[in-house]
Amino acid sequence: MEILHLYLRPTSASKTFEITDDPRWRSYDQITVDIDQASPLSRPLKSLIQQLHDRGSERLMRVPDQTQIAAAIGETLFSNVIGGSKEISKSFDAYHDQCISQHRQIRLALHLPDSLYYLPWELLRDPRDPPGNFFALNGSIIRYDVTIPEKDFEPAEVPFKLWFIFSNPWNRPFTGDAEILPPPHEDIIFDQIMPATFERFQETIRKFSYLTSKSQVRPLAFAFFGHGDVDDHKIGQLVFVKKGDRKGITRPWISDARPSYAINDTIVACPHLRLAFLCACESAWAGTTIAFENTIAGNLLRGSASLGYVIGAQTPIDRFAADILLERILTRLPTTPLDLAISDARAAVRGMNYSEPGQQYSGLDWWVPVLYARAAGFDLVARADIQSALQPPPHVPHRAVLGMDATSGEPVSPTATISDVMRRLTALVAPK
Amino acid sequence: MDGSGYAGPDPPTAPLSVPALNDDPSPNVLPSPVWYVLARVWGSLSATNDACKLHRRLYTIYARSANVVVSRRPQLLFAALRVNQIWGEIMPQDIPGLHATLEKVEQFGIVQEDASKISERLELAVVDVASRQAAGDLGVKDAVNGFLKRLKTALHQELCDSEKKALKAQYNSLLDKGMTTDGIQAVAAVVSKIVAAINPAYLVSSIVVYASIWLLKLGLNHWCSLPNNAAAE
Repeated sequence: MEILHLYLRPTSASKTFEITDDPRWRSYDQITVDIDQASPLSRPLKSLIQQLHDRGSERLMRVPDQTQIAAAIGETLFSNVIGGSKEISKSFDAYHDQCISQHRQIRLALHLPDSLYYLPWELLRDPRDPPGNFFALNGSIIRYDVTIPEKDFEPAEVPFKLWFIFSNPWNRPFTGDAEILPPPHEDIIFDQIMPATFERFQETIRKFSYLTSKSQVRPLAFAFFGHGDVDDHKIGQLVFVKKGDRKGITRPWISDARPSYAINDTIVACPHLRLAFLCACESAWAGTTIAFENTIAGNLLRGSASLGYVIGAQTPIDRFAADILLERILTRLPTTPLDLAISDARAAVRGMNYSEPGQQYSGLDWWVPVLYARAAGFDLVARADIQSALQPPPHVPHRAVLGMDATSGEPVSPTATISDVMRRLTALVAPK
Repeated sequence: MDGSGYAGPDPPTAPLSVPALNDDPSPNVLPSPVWYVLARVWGSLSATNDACKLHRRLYTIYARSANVVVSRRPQLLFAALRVNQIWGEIMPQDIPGLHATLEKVEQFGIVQEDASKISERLELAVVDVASRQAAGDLGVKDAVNGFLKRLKTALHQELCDSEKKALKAQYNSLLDKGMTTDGIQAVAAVVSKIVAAINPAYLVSSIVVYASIWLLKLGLNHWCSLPNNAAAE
């Protein structure tokens, strides 16, 4: 079992949920998730989450301070959800031991009802682990929407196409002039949609989805880097740009916020698009007052049958943290399962140098990205080359590598020269 | 997405909270608009006990409703009320959100933090307000540094006896209560007057509370022993 799946569903009581690790729900337990309960820091969980979310002058300011609060939240969630059921606790322990013995990371998939989305599940940690260990950092946390059935997608071929939007409106800038550098990986064909207008986004994504079957052009992934908002109607928005008033010889691009459903209208028209990466504030925020389907992430996930993964931000996200996240995930993507690529990126963010100008609080945002999945697997692209390199050819007995001649089965003489050994090894791997 | 380095909410596009009052009103060189004169008259009236009570009552009612109806209120009334804070001796407990901020500061354990962290929080609170103002020729960073320097200089002038290099006698009572809620509120009463005089737009609870805690952390007598320009650093 590579990933431990936990399924939760609500009951008639508001704080009580049913939980199982069996997708068919043949047996299940009841647990309670209550944010008014006391945490290990003797403060209610609600107050800790409030401080974690705070980005004003009462905010957490250093990673060590945050770790204490984050650990208390994560441990309380762990004791509620995993420790709250004997069966789940037993399954988790068995899975944990299996992971340790097989040198694998702990990967948890949480199938959540809407009412639990606002909790920071990315902080989940086992109280028995050493301080600073979080599953989302050293393994992975994947969120599934209970209303969406899992779906198997064929991993795509490499190289794959990534369409990128960088929207930095003149009236709401988050950076000055900046050079966009493609991710340093030959398997990603990177193209930027310019100017970052909504119309250009629609036109590009639709056009290249329908008119061609070439994977070099057809978008497999889409990334948006810019502002995200939740407006007064509690609808998530991405901020594109549009032409402003002419000043003199210049005409600035000004902000143009577009609602989640309008963005989804374009995304549903791309049957081959598998991954949407939203580097935008609150793009995956699902508070108690906002419906999940009104967020950008929720609308894309529920509104499209072919999108396998949406990565968004559950709160505002720091500009530099988002930058590092995007770069790290894209760089790892061709060789690493998506959920683990995100974990690598989280670790990179947590380790950011806070002495760098403007990066004072960037490292605190490692927990902000959230992965919502529809797909059952996490290999976005086929990784046959990696697998074959790690496994010995099937016709070769393992012992041959350990000192036996593969063809005769006789032991290799301890006095054999290096060229002898090399010749035998070449014979081993040569196709027959 | 945040502005560079600033990890607060997105830069807001909402109208300024006090559009007409972002500059220091004391060097009153230009002819005052009618509302400004009226506000000053109202302020001077509130020196009498009855007027003062009435004024405080009105302001409290206003402040409670401000969060929800501020955009629909006439700008004139809002500006007049804020100016009246300067001239009408509003007490710090009348600053909207003061108690909530004090509660948060205790609840989150911020009171236990050292002076350098409190100073960082003060700067964040000022950035939060500054980012909502029209920057004009100066960027947010310049506005923040300028305000903080003026605040510290003005506080030093108000609280410290420059000859004795100690706290002025009339402020000795500020030392009595120490780092308690009452102690912070006592210092906040002085800080809020100074903030209102420098720039009423910055008269928000977080700035007043952090400036007060910062002063108490440094030690008022120690801070007063420093020359004014060093104290403003």
